[in-house]
Amino acid sequence: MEIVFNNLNYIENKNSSLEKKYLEDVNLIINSGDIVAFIGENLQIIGDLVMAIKRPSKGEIKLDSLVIKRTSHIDNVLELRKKIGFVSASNIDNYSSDTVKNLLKKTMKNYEYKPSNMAKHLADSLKIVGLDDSYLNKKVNTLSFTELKKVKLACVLCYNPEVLILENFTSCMIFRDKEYFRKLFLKLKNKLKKTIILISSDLPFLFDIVDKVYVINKGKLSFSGDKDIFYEDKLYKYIEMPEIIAFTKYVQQEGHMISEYTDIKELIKEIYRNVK
Amino acid sequence: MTFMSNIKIKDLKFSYDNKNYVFDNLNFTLRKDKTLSIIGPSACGKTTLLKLLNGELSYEGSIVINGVEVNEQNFWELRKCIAVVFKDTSFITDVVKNELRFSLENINIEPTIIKERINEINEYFGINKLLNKNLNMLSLNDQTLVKILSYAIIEPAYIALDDLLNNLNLRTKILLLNYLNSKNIILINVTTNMEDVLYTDYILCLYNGISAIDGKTLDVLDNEKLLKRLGLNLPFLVDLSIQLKLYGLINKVYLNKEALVRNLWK
Amino acid sequence: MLNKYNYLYNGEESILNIINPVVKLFGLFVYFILILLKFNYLLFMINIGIVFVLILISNVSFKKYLYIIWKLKYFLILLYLCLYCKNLELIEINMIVFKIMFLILYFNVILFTTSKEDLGKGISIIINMVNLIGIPFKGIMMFIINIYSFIEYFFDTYNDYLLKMEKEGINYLDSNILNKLVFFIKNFKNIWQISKLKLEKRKKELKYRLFDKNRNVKYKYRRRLCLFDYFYVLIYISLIFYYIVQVR
Repeated sequence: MEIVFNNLNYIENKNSSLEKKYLEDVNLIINSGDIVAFIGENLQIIGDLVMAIKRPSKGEIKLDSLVIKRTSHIDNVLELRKKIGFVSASNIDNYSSDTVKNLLKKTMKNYEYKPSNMAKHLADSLKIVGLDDSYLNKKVNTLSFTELKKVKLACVLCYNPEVLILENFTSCMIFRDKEYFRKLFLKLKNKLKKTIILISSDLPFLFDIVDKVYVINKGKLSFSGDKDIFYEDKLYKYIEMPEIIAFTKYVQQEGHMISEYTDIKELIKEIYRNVK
Repeated sequence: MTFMSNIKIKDLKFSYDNKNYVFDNLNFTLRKDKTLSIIGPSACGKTTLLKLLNGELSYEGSIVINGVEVNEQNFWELRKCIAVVFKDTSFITDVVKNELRFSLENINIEPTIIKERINEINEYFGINKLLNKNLNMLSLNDQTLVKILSYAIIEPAYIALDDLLNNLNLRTKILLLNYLNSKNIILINVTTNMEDVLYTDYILCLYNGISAIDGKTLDVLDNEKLLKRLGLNLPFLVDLSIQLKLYGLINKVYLNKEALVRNLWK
Repeated sequence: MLNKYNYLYNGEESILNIINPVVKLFGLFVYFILILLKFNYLLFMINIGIVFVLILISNVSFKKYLYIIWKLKYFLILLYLCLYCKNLELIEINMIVFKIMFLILYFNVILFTTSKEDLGKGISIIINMVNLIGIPFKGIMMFIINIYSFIEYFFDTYNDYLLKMEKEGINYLDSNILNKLVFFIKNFKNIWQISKLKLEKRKKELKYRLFDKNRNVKYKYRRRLCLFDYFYVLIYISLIFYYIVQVR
C-alpha cells in the first residue's frame, strides 16, 4: 500500500492553553514494501491518522486510492483497518486482566480473520515474535515490559496486515531481542512484501534495514534521507549520535582514513587493515 | 546518611502466584556508597526487584537498606532511604514547579528551604523557563527529568530508576548524574542500554531467580561470553577493545576513545 | 477528554500569577455578591471595568477568553430565553446576562493565572477557615473531590479505551448513536474497573510522595503577602463600602 502525506497538519486543542502541533505541512510519499523510519516526538499521531482513527486538521492523507481529509467520512473503515497494524506505546493494556489467548482471539474476531486451524494460528503468531506456547494462558497484566510488546506485535500480525506501524518498539529491549526483530522486519519486508513504518529514536536498530528516514522536528519535516543518512552530520542536530558513528568520525578527524561502517565486525576489519 | 549507605539482600524468595518463583534465594550486597546497574534478559525480575526494594510487595528473606528492614512498619523511615521511579510513574500535580515542591510541602519543609533546593536544581539544569509549564506539554526528555527530580528533591540515600535514562538526551543524563553525585544520592539504575553501565561502580546481572554475576563494572564486563549467552551486548568501546585485543593491536581495554585511538595508531 | 477544559493555567508571568490564590478567590466572592445586588449603573460599569483591567494584566491573549464565551454560547442563549419567558424588561435581562458573562470571564482570569494546585490549596484554606464556624465543609469537600477525581479518571480511561478498541478493529467513532450506546454499556464494567485501578495507583503514588491525608499540613504560600495582594483586597473592600454607602 502506498501512503502519501499531502500538506498534512494535525493540531490538538487549537486556541486553548493546551494547543499542541503534532504535524505541520508534512509532505512525503511512503512506497509500498519499504521500511521507513520517523524520528521525532509525539509521532503516535501518524499511526492514528493512517488507521483513520483521527482525521487531519488540514491537508490530506492518501492510502492507495483512498483520500482522507478533515471532513472525510469513510464508509467501510474496517476494510481499511484490516490492512494496517498499529502497535502503539500506550500503557492502557497494562490494566487488562485478559489472557494472551483471549486477546489474540478477540483481535481476530474484530478484524474478521478466520484461520483454518485456530490453535496452530495462535501458536504461530506467538512463535513469530519469539514467544512459546506457555504464554497463551498468561494474563496480560503479569507480563514484563518487553513480553507485553511482543504480545502486542503478535496481536497485530495475527490478522496479516499489509502495513505495520510500530511506535518506539525497541525502547528498553535487550540486544538479543533487538537483533531478532531486525531480522524479523527484514524478513517481513522481503518475503511477505509488507510496508513497515518505524517510529523510533533507536538509531543502531535502524542501521541497514531502513529505506528512508524522516526527521520530524516540532511538527515540521526537517530532514530526510536514505540508508546513508547515518553518517551525515546534519542528522545529529536532532538526535544523539550512536557510539560507533562517533568513534568512526573521531578516527577520521585524527587523520586516519577509514571507511564508514555500521557493523562493529566490519569496522574492526577496517581498523586492522588500516593499522597494519 | 552517606556514612552507612549500603543495601543487603539475603536469601530473598519471591513469587507473584506461589508457583513460579521470580527470586529463589537471591543474595546480594551493595557495598558502601557504590552506585549500581541492574541488567539481565527480559522478564528476569528487574522491575520486580525494584518493587521489592520499594516495599510494595511481601517477600521471604531479608532486605535491609541503610540498616532499616524493608517492611510495612518502616514505611516512613524507608522514604528517607530509598526512592524508586518506575516507567509508569505518573505526575501528581499540573505544573513543573508544583510537582517539584509536592513531596517537600507534604512534610512541612520551610518554604525558604524549598526555594533553595529549586534554585539549586535550576543552577544545574537551567529549567527556569520550564517551571511554569504544564507537565503534559513537555518533551519526553523534560518529563522524565522532572519525574526523577521530583523524587530526588527529598534527597533520599538511594534513588532507583527503572530504565528511565533511555529517555534523556546525553547532556541531561550527565547533568543528572552530576547532580545526584553532588547531593550524595546513590543511583541504582536498571538498564537495557549497556553504555549506561559505565556510569556506575557495580553491576548486578539477574537470571533465573538469582544473581548470574555481580561485582565491579569492569570485572563483570570481562565475562563477555556469559553476557552474550544471556542475550546482552557490551558497551561499544569495551566490545571494540576486547576484539582488537584478540587481534593483537592493543593490550588492554580502553574506555576512552582518544586513548584507544592513540594506542592503535602509535 | 475532560483535561481540555480542566486545565487553563497559562503559566505566563503576570502580576496576577503572583497574587495569593486566597486573595483572588476572595475577590471572586465579593464580585459575585456585588453582581447579585440591586441594579446600579455605576457599580455595573465598575464591575466590567475591573474585569477588563484584569484581562489586560493577565497577559493572556483576548482570543482565549472569547473562545470560552464562544464555547458557552448555548448556555447564554438558553439563559436569555429563560429570562425572557419570565417577562422581565429587556434592559434588565441584558444586564443580568452581561453580569453573568463577566462573572464567567472573571472566573476564567483566575483559572488562567492560578495553577490547579494553588487553586486547590486556596479553596482548602478558605474551607478550613469556614470550618471554624462549625460546618463540616471539609468532609463534604473531600467527598466531592473524590467523586470528581473518579469521574475524571473514568472519562480519561474511556477515551483511551475507545482508541484502543479502534486499534483492535472496532469501529466506534464512525458508527451511529445506538451502536455507541451499546458499546458503552457492554464495556462499562471494564472501564469502571480500569478507572478504579488507576485511582488506586494514584493513591499509592501519593503515599510514596509523602502525602498523608491524616497529617495536618500547614500550608504556607510560596510568597508572603506582598503589596499587590493588599492592593487587590483594598479595591474589593472599598467597593463593598461604596455599595453600603450608596444603599444607606
